[in-house]
Amino acid sequence: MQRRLMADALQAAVTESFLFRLLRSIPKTEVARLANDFGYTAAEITAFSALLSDTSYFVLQPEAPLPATIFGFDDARSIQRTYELGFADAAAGFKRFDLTSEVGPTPP
Amino acid sequence: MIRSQFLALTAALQAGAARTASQSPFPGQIKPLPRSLILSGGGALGAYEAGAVAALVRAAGVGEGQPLPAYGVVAGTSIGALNAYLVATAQWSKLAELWATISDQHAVRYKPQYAKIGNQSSGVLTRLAEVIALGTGAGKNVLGVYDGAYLEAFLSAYIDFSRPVVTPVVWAVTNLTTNLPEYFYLVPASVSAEQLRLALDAVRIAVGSVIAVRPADPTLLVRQLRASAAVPIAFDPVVLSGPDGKPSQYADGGITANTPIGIGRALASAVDVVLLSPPFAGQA
Repeated sequence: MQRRLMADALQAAVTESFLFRLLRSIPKTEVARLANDFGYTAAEITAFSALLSDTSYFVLQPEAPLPATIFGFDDARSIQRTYELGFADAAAGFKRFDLTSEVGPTPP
Repeated sequence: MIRSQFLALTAALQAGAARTASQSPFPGQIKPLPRSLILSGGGALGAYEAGAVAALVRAAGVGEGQPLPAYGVVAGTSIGALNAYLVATAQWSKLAELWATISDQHAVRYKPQYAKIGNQSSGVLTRLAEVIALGTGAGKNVLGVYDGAYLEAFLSAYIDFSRPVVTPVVWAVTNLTTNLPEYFYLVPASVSAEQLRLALDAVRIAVGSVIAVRPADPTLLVRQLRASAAVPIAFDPVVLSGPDGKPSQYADGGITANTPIGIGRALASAVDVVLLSPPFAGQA
């Protein structure tokens, strides 16, 4: 559940930036016309856009479940291995997270 | 219906964008910082974050007490909050040491009444009886199976308010009274009152005006950080003064804000997020 929430949060954040850039790239008159077509006022779209944030996202995450477990604080070997994986993955760099990134399970 | 409307509007806007000039109808949002680092929660999986930070430190070539130059702010939840504090104070060797010694120190210990749950040499029935007692609330002090005092003592060796903060840090906790996240922060002495005010305004817009965002208390720093990692059932809630000054129970920030992306996006143009689980597609 928590993983689902994290994935949703990231996807929502990326979508927000996408919308921000999209709205910014269109002249006001065109936005007003499009908004009107969909039953919104230009003022509503302007207010909506003011809530948006232009941000780029980059993610570092393991490719497979980590050796350590959430409560495995006594498992020195797994903690060490997990630390090493973090080091290796970060050395390879964060990956850009965009609208095509894998964020969740395939719906049933 | 709402989703289809959204998709239709997005498609229309995309088409509009493609055929119209690129002059912006909206003022660009100016962010004070180029980049933020977000560390999520996950208990012992937090070793992954520590390893990642070690690689970032090596790549940046910074020394003890020197901040990672790429990041203007670091935010975390739960174990990510503890790691974030050590990043904010640039205690690179301490961060590595914490994870190298945490298993030897047995910083996470069962309360005496639940010690047999994790002891495989105890009889199955004994362990089962303790689990049932825990689950049904038949015993006293059954909010959490682990004794937070050991963890707090362990953390005291790493959390020291006298250490200068070199990178602003924000961490999430969950107020069990309001069932809302709250955020504590520490900032370097070099941050001006005006810079702080602007940053807090941006954060409050991002997380919501009803969410408390307040400075950490020097005398309660260890408890305020430990509260972020007080996983329900594992640990008892941590009692702290609430925003209204009255005692409130606090638990793991991960309940309400496991990956505090909002903090990062409020302050920085780019957000680096460290997650502790693989993409769903990567799971067997």
